[in-house]
Amino acid sequence: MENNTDTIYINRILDGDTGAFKFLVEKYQKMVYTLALKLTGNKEEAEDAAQEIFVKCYRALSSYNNRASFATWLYRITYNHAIDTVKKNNRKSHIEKRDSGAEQAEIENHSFDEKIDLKDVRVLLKDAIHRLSPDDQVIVALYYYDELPLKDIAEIMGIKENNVKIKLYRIRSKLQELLQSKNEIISILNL
Amino acid sequence: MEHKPNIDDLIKSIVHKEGLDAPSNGFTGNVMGAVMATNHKVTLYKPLIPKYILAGIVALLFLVILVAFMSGYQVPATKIPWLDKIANGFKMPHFSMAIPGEISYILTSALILVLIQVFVIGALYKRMHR
Repeated sequence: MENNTDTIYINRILDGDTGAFKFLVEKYQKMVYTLALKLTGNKEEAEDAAQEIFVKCYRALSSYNNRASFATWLYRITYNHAIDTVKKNNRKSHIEKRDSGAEQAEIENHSFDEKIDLKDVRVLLKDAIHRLSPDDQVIVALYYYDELPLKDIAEIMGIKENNVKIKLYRIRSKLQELLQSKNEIISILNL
Repeated sequence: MEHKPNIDDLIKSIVHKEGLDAPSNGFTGNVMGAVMATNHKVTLYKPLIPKYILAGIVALLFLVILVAFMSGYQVPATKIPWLDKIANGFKMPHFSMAIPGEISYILTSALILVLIQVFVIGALYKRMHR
């Protein structure tokens, strides 16, 4: 159904109705911007990149074939463009720059200082997701938010489906580990 | 690859609760402005004659010419001598060339290798330009 609506608008654009592109921009702008932000780590840069991505997408629309869904095709453009932007600016993403030791201390302090409940676990997990590498954050967004199949995520990131599976496993393990240590703290405090 | 079943649900609920980041308010307008400014009309190239019909026509022509040559068909004489000469000038040559077995094996192997390389290089090129 989703794809059908996209196809209808794509056909309208290809028939010369440029205004129909607005529908696609409004529908996908949040995910495109989110992915760009996760990869560039800078709001302004992400917004510029997202704008360029949509223009690029519009210009290349005639080459889009229905082999993959429009979303997958657009996200692939997004991923490649954002990676190029980071490379062009010759810097590593903001998240990689962070000191992992400091992060761990921050998490631990957070655990002991405040009242521990499920809400707290959620906050901790949210923090942990934010601290994942940009690529891992992209996978989390595509898999858990957009609920895209692994095959599509692999297509977007230009890697093999098995690699996505492995990355997801590592992400889960990392977060699971964090939760387990949190549970241990809860059980100790309950005693 | 065992995990407690709730981790996926927990991540999903956190991600959904947090939602996606949103660009600034004028984003759609800016994009549409940039799109209009490109002055680029996106139109899909649709050939008047579909590819399969063209391929059919070419194959049919080839077949007709081949059959004409094989059957030794003579085009009826016209009043234009040079045209008759051209139309009936081509005869199916009788090949009597003997190709040594080794050469044909070498040529076939080389052709197979070239075809493999075309696929490998094609896949590599696609990966580099995705």
